[in-house]
Amino acid sequence: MHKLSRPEVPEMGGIAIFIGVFVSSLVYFIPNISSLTEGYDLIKDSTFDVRVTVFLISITIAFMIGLYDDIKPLNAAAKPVLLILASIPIIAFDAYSPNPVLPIIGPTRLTYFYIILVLFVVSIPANSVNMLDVFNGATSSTGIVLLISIILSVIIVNPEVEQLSFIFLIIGTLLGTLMAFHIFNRYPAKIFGGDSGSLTIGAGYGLLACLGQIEFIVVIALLPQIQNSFSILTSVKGIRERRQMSRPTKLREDGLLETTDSPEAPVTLTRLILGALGPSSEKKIVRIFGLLSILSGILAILSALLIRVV
Amino acid sequence: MEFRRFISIPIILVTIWLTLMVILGTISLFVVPLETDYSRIVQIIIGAIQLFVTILMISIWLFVWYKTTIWLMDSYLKNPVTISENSEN
Repeated sequence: MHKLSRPEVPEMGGIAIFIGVFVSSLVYFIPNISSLTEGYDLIKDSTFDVRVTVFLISITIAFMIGLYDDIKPLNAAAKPVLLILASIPIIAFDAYSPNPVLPIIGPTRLTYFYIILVLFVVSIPANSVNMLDVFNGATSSTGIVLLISIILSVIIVNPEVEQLSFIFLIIGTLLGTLMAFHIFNRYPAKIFGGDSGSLTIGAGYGLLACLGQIEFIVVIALLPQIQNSFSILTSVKGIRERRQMSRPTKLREDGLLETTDSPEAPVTLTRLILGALGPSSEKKIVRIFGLLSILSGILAILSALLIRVV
Repeated sequence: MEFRRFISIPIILVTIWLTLMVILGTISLFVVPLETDYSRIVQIIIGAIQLFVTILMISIWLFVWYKTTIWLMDSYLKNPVTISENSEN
């Protein structure tokens, strides 16, 4: 897409991402299933964690929406609305705790207001990740940095052992999958994740935030993605189809990307970087995405310290 | 030159985070501890004040965030970097 040679690259690598996340999450059930042979009841068993079931259902819904979008592009407004469906299992299984912990303030009590937030817990991060998935290795490299910073933040916050094991299960599945995917997705990419990949990964972040009760840390770690989607939505004044918007960048004859000066073009993070640095290569832009992710990771760790202090 | 222009993007991220902390600090002034045993009507009034302050602060925050991003993009477009200034690709 951003190369003069226009190489043909397979797009639906999201299928591999989904299988990687789904199958490795099943590991959580192995101790429970093996204990069934000793007359153990899987559901009544106190170690059975409904959050893993919710994670598997929700991530499957997000993946299916992404897969459909890869095959037959969805309307710009339909995607975020459909992704609300992926949040329904969280409410249906009562797998949330309406008491997010915030830095400085400490634990809060949001009760009914939290249910409204839960509806968007998959949709917002999934779309934010999807909007930044425009370059080779962007989603995988920023995702790896993000998840490592969340691991460090969680260690600082020091939650209960049961919660910690759930958080590390989700981070482990996402991180392992992204590291494997990065080998093939880094510049020059041999495969793209497509919408199925970015929505699966983004949904994973949202579910990790809500079910792991580390909402604030995940939001801060996702700042580059949120900054990008916020700038796009505010600059084009609402949700628009990619085809309806002017292109934010253009490819020069020397293979470098530069920002367009069209006032109608959305203000993306890439456009800001190109505005600041001038014409740049795709590889350099992805490297800067990584640097911004490291910065937001540091901010997430600082937030964790402030949570711990309270 | 290149670094000076680039640094404004990380500064935006840090500013977003810092203003969020200030907002949380302000909201914390209106937060009633979970164990407080007020009557229902007092709880509703306190909740309404908290909600109003939260919505007000977050609206101001989003507006400043939006304006800063647009201003930054405009300033970049008005003073474009030439290829000779762009050292390494």
